[in-house]
Amino acid sequence: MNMEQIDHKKFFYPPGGILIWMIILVELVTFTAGIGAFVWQRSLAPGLFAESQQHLSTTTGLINTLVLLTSGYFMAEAVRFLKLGETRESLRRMLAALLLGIAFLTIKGNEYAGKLAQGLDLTHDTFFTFYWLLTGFHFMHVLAGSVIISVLALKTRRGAYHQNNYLDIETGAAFWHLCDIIWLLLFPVLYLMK
Amino acid sequence: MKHYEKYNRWAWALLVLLTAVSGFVAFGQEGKTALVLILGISACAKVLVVVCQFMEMKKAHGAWLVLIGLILLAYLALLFVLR
Repeated sequence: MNMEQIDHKKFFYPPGGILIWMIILVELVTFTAGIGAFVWQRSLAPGLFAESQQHLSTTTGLINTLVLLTSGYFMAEAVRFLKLGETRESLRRMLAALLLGIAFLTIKGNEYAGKLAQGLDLTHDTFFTFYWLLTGFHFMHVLAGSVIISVLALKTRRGAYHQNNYLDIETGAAFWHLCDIIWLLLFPVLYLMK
Repeated sequence: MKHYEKYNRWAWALLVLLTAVSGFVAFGQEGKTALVLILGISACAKVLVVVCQFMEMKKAHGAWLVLIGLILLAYLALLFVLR
């Protein structure tokens, strides 16, 4: 299919394809419900949640937010460069997005290790049950997104994607941005709202 | 597509600014409704910037943005109703 012929204004043809957007909507509804459950449980035990939340580092959360946002910017630029026919520049942005994704996973992994060392595991209390489930589920998404970007970058390097064939890259980028979006909704609730 | 470079950069700068403001506003504040309002709206604004600019949904059928908007409204409502 010639990509130039796709009219994104038609409902069934959003950028990245309708399938990824159905996945994105389902994921957003799921995480919103999870956040709702967290907020409800916090209203039942505000003291416990406030005490447990003090174990989280706001600075680490802020750094991770900036890392993911910057990674998302590079992925958006990767798609733009590919559409312009500048495959090499696109590949460089994809690798930058991937490196920042790995940086996020490393920082988060380090945070997890610290929590486990303190005995703050999934069963510690209700706050940490939600913390591990919500951030752990998001962590898995970033991990999956990193694998997707790696495969896309490899295939781009081999010449599989170009100016007239970029739907897979656009779809992969949409999944990567989904990781951004989920984190943007999780971060203030878990780290900032007290 | 060329002009998108500038828009992507501005979108990124706006996202960083909103994140920094959220962190600054939340510092030392506890249990205030205004804080929940600011942080919730800021999070939704950031999501919309990512969706419209980075995911290029500003080019898509308006119904997609309505669907995303409804989920964000539900997010904000849950923050207020259940807190």
